[in-house]
Amino acid sequence: MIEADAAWHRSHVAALQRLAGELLRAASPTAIGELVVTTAADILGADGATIYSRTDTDTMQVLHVTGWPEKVASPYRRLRLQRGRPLSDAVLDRRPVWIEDARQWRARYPDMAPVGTAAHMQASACLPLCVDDRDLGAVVFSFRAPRAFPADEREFLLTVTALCAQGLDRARLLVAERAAREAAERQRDRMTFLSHTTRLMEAPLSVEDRLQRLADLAVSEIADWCAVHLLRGNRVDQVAVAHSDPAKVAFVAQLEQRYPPDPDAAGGAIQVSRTGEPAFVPEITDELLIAAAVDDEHLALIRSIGMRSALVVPLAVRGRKLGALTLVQAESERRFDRIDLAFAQQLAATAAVALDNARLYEQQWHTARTLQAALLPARLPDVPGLRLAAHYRAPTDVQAGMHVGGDLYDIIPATAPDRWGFVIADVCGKGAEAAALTALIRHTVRAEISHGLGPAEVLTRLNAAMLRQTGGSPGRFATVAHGQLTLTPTGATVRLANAGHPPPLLLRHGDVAPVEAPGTLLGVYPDVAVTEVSCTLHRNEMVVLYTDGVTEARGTDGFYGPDRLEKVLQTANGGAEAVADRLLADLDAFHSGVQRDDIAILVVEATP
Amino acid sequence: MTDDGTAEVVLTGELDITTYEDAEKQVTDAEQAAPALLIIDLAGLQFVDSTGVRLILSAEQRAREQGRQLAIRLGHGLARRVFAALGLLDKFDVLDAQPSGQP
Repeated sequence: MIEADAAWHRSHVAALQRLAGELLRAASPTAIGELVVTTAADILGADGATIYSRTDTDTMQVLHVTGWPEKVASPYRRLRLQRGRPLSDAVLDRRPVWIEDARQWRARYPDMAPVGTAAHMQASACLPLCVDDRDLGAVVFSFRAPRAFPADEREFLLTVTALCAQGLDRARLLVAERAAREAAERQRDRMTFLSHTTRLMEAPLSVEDRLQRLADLAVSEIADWCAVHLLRGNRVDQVAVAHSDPAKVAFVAQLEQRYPPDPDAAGGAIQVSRTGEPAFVPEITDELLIAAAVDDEHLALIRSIGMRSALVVPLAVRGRKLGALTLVQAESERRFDRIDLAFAQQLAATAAVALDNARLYEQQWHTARTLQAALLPARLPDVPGLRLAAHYRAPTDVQAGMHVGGDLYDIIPATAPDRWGFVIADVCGKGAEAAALTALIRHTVRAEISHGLGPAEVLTRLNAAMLRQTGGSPGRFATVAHGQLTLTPTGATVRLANAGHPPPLLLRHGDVAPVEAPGTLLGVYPDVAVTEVSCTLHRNEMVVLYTDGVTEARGTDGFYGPDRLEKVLQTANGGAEAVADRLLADLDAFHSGVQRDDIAILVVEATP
Repeated sequence: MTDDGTAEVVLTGELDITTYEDAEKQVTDAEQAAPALLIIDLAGLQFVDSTGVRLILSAEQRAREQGRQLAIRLGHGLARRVFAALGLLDKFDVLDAQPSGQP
């Protein structure tokens, strides 16, 4: 008997060691539950076992059941703690309840006896799972034979229970830790995403391109589908839609063409755009799809998209409604939660501010382009006996496109059909004031030429006009080169005056010579010294005018400079267009990085 | 500023639209002491365009309004060529009017 006891003891100690080792490897509460129940039931010879985990103060949830018929066990998968029931008493009092046979069941727990003795069970051990002051749940071992639960068996059961409780405790901590880590990672991913979005929304792209990129970014990170709608007057237009599979995008586009979205549908992008109220459908049920479907075919089609969860948040700035951002989860089976909704609202707010800025930027850009167009001739006139070419390049710095150039060129008819004026000017500074001065120069030169004044006189009058407009403000001045030509049977005679502008270049069959006519810049001094010089253009000879954006262009080897300009002109073949194109191409090749100043080129060739 | 009321601003580096504000601040800082004569030295600039002219024209206007004198140094490189091209050499008090080494 003693030997048998010793053997029993040895086998139980070995079983406990094995259980302890396996418990260490079991990561989840469910795995622990299963391990404890099966191992302990094996060792003890229990016929049934159930382990519960405490879910909150008054309920427990089954982790694992063995040995009980489904119909007996299933009503108790989830149970409320209730005094007067053996398992509840064990948990609430934090002490085991031992029931040795069916008779004790009926005597002590008459209400629960039919359950406790179902499936021919007799004895039960109801054991609370506790670690320190933490109540983790409970385990019940049941036996078909009456059992006295002698002291050593109780001790063994309590040891198993303690091991199990520790395992559960550790697993719960692991689960909580993992959840916390996942939440932190999700938060970090979102902050990264948001910073990507912010950078994206600042990119120099059109509003539509930005929103499409935003949608593309969203489907790579946070949703299966993304769409952006914008409120335009009374209309709500979808301006961007994205899914990782372009075929699906095409499918939905066709679908929406065939079944246009109902503008009054609650929670739709159109409604949200108009109301500014977010819509959140964490779970898209089939009932919702049925309700939304127009007919059976529509239903089949929208079912095939497989939408699971959706949220629509407004794009709004300072109470002004701009549109809506829609995010949908489909084949990934992910679901949006309240945190996702809050994040989407944050994302939409970021996008909306950027969108607002972009619109402002586009308006200014449009204004700048309109103004610029008014400062330069839309096209050069056709002049028999002359071949004309011109180029203008705005700077390519960060504010490119917002720039209204201070550079100007123009070809102007004079008082007779064979007389023409040409002008190139560079106004110091940029922006609206510079543009206003540029416009003044263009119109004054045109007016004075039509009055029949010569080049030096035109520039003197222009100086007076500029002084009247600027009041001699030292920041507002311009350099202007102005020529007037008379067509002749062999070419043209040219009179040229220059107020501080880079000297025009005469290009005569590969020979380049500056036309020096020193003069003072305009717009600062009441008296300006402007001299006038004359020259003759024969057939295919030309005068090349440019602004200092050409010679001051920066490349990796320094400035473009007058020497390189001269060399390019010497080797340029062909007429005015070819020369102008060649110069611009050479400048483009030379430039490294940004072009800081605007560039204007005007070429006038005699073609009698 | 020296005892005789002269202050000098020596500009270096590049002077164009992108650096204009910095250069202007250097000049206006020097003007705070209301020197009888302010000298702006553009000779050492590696690059200067018409923006440099704008800087000097503005400084000259302030000097005139406040009854001060303004003079400039242009050196014999780019700054001088820029001022010459704009027809401005005789519009300012250029201290180094003669090429260096010559009387």
